[in-house]
Amino acid sequence: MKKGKQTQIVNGLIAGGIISIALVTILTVVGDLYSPLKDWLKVTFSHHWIGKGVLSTVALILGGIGGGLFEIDGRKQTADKLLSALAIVLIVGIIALLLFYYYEAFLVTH
Amino acid sequence: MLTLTQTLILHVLTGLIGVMASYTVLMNLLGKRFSLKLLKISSVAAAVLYVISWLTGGYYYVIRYGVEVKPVIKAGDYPWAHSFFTEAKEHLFLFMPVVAIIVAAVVFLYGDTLNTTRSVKRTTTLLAFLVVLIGTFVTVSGIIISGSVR
Repeated sequence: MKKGKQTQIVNGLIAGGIISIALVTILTVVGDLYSPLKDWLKVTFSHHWIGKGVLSTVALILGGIGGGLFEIDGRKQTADKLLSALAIVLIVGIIALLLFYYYEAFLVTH
Repeated sequence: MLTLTQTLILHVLTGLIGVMASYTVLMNLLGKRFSLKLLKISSVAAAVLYVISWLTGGYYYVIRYGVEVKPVIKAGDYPWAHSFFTEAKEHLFLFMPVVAIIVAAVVFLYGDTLNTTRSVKRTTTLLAFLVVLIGTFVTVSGIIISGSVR
């Protein structure tokens, strides 16, 4: 496989990773606040957590395949920007989930 | 076929060794000179081990934890062990295999030029650090959750 094609696939994979992490964060927070979404995950995938895992994997794989099939920009500078975006989305995701579950566990009264 | 207890042991072991592999990746990336072979082996090992830990932990979580363990914790003295630590652990863990796979892909593609492409190396190092950070939180959470059942 040519280096340019490899770079495209990796760039697609990183883009898929960004979507994957954002998706898990959004599905988790919104799903807990809006029960029909969590119920849909349960009904469709037998368990909400399995649903989030499946959808996050699909996003990652589709990103890699998309990068290989379509003419995604395969420059190293693009990889650098995508990696930075991934790091930012990951940090936001970590903070959002920790704060959300801290709020749910210690501050809110159900 | 593994029993549920053996599945849990496999989940813990693969997760722990995975974090050690990610730590090896981080330490290698932090150094001015690194072993590309070790970097490739440890990054792939981390990704593979997290996937195994994910599948085994997920199986245990769905089959036993939710049915038998969770009600005991929620009725006990430390219900926050589930509502904070289990909930945060199970969801933050979902980030780990994804990022570990991407770190391994970047190491394989740019490994031989990482020292000359400083920005890619810096961001990959940050990602490896975040995986180790999540891994440490997940490990400590596991200890807290296990302790709260007793």
